[in-house]
Amino acid sequence: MRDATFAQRGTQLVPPQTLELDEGGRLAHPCADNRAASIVAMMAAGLVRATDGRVFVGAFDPRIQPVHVKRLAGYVPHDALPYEFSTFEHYIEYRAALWQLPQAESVVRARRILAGLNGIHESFAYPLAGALIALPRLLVLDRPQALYAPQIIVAAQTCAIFSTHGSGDDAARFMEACGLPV
Amino acid sequence: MMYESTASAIAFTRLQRMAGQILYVAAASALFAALQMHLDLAAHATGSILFGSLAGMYLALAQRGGRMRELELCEQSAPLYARELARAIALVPCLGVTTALAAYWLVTLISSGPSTLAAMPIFLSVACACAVSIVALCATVRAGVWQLSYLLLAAALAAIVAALEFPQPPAAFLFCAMAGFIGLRQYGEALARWNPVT
Repeated sequence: MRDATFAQRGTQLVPPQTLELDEGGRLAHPCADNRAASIVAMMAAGLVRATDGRVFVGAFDPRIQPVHVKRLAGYVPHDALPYEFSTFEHYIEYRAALWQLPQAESVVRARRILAGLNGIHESFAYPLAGALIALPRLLVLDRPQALYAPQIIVAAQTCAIFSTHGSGDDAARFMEACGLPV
Repeated sequence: MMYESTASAIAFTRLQRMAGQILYVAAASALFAALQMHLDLAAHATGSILFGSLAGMYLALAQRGGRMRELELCEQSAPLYARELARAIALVPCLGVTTALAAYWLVTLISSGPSTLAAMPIFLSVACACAVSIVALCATVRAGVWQLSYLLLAAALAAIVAALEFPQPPAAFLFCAMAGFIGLRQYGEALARWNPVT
C-alpha cells in the first residue's frame, strides 16, 4: 500500500496508509480506530477499493483485477460467526463452492486445520479455517486477538500474515505473541 | 449438503436464511388472494402484479445488510466476478416472489374456481415481479437519492406493466424482459464498484 486512503461521502475514513509486506512475512498494522482497521483489512483483501493511492497484492491492483487479488488473499473478518450453517462441514462446503474448490477434499483439509486451532473460539476458528482451505498466499486478519497468535502462525504455515488493529498497543501485543520484534 | 455450483451455494444459503420472510410473504399473498375472491380475472391480474411487485421489492431490499452481513462479506471475499454474484443474488428474490405468486394463484383457483384463471396473467405476474425485484436490487448497492430513484423506478415498472397487461400482453412481457435484463446488468456493474463498508 502506498498512500492508500478511503473516503465515503466526502468523509475520509482511512488516512493515507503506506506499508509493505514481503512474501511469507508477518505484519501487525496499527490503525487510528477499529473502523479504520476494518477498512484497511478489507482494502488489503481486495474487498474495498482505495479512494486514493495505490494498493498492490502480489502483482495485482484490486481496482483492476479484484478476482485475482481475492484468489491470493484469505480474509478473516473480526466478528464473523457462521450462524446460518448447522455444522462446520456445511460452512466449509459453502466456502468451497464459492472458491470453486473440491468440497469433500476441502472439508478434510478444514478439519485438519481446525484441529490445529485448538483453544480458539469457533467464531474465529471457523472463518480462519475457511480462509485457509483455499491455500492463500496472504492471510488478512481484521483485529485478531493476540491470544490466538501462536495457533494462527502454525495454521498459516508459509502464508504471509497481515493483521490490522485498532491501536498501537493491540498491534504490539499481537506481534509480541507472534514472537516477532515489536 | 454438496452444492452443484457457486450460484446454487449463494442462492440456497440466502434462501435458507430468508425462509421465514418468504413464508410470511407467501402467507400474505394467499390472504390477499382470498380477500379478492369475488373479483374477476382482470382484478386478480392487476392485484397479483402489484402485490407480487411489492413482495419483490421487500425481498430484494432484505438481501443487503443486517442478517446478511456475514454472507455478504464471505461472498465479497470470494474470487467471483460481480456479474456471477449479481445473477446468484437475483435468483433469491425471484424465487421468493415466484413462491408468493404461486400461493396467490393457488388460493385464487381454490376460492374463485378455474374460470377465473388464465395462463397469461399468471406468467406475466411472475415476470413482472421478477423484473421489479431485480430493479429494486440495484437500490441495495446505492444510497440516498439514487437508492430512492431505483425504488421509484421499480414501482413505476410495476405500474406500467399493470397498465399494459390487457391491451398489449406481448408488449408487457417484452417490457419485463428488457427491464429485468438491463436491471441485472446495472446491478452487476454497481456490485463491482460497491464497497462493503458500513
